[in-house]
Amino acid sequence: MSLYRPVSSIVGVAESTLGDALGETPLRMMASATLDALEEAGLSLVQVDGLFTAGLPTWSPAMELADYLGIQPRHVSSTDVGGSSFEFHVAAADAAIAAGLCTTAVITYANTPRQDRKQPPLSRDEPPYAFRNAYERTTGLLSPDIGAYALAADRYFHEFGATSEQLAEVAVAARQWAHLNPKAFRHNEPLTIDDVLSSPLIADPLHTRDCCLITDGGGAVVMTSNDRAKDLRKTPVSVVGLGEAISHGNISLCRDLVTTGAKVSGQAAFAMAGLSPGEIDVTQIYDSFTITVMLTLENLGFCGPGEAGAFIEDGRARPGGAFPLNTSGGGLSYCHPGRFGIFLLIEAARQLRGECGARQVAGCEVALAHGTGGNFSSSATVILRKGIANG
Amino acid sequence: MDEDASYNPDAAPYFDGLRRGVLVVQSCSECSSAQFPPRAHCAACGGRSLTWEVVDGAGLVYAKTVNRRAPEKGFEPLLPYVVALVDLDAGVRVLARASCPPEEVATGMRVVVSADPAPVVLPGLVFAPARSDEGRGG
Repeated sequence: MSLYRPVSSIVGVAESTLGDALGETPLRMMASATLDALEEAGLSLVQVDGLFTAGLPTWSPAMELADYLGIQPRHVSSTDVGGSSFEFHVAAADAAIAAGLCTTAVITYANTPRQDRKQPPLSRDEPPYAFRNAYERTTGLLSPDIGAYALAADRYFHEFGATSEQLAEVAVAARQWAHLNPKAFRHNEPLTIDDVLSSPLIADPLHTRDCCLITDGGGAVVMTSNDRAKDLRKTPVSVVGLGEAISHGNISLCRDLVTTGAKVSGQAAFAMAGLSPGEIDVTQIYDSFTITVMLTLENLGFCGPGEAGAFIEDGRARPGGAFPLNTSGGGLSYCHPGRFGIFLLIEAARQLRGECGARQVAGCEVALAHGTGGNFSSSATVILRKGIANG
Repeated sequence: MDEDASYNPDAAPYFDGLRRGVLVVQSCSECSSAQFPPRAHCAACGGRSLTWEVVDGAGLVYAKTVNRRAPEKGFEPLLPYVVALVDLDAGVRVLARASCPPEEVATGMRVVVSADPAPVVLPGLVFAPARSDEGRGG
């Protein structure tokens, strides 16, 4: 069987204002990140003919954004599968570029949940026929999503004897990376294993410090064909592996809480890239909760089932460790405006370009970004290589 | 709450059953699979002929969490409470809230799921540990 060979590269990345974006809107932030990412590449807004976004709370996110940017793209996708949407968008953008549906693709996201906390909450009501409304809301399971991840953590503990201390290491490692990232929301705040374990339980076994931040923020990624990427300003970061999977939507439809879609998406991405987990130099894994990282590491094949605790012990995932993980500080310590996946791509690209300053991982040639969305529902794996791979 | 339920034809027999104090799930006439949540087709074989069967609610806790905060106001007086995925002996998995204190629930234990006697929103499910003389189906 001949595998698809990705044809495109990431040629520009940028964040918008992060943290507390007082007076900002998601549209302004997406536009700001998009312009900065295009400028990095030496491209302009008028060249953007493919637009990929998710999560803007309007009737049509892609068209609202296109209106705001002032462009008339000939290809759009607003697939929304939660926080991993932007890893899905990389696959869609690569395929669209390969098919000639667009040449310059922008993937962007922004939201302001921190500002929105000061406003009366928008209704999250789903229609009566939605499974969540009819069969889950009736139980009082804590939402959004925390209850589902807590169930997964409980099952993980039950099957493998894993512990809260092992989960806490994910949060502490992320915080130590955040100390090296001036943009990180928790840049200056120390965190110990004991701090995590003594933080209030919110949905057992998850403590508040097992949960991601709620910040404002946004980002953008610009992609174009490998041929065109060679002539742009930045060292291209080429896509070499892609994999996607939807395992379920609602948590009560999940068949196996410890076997996630990452198993399917990871195998596909590694096969496409002709690489194995041991060949990845820097890893960015969606960290909505500490348990998200543990199960993803196992399902991507970095270690076996139940082995993630041992895999990251002794500081292996911390700065200076043998397995650099979530080097921005992640959703746990850097930023998390609702859907974090765009930032996994931005950090992976910057690590491959060697632009990460104090947190730069030496000799970075291959990076993996893995998004998880919903209730452990949607999984997408993107493997990136410094320079043009499939030229 | 009846107005909401009336807009969901798939769920109506299930909600009606809970109001009468019985738990009903779908059974496929073609492949005999039990199905929950209810749909207009069988997710196992695509068949469109489904019947409703009363089940006894006996099952096993697959995973649980103790909620320390409530997703909406109506649940606040119940805090803290356990919500669990329960694998029924009847062959389906359901999400249900424990009617007993959190310390009485363990993952892997046998429980009995039944209609919530005091629904907060729509009719729903609660569970309690099985007594020694019940819940022996599995």
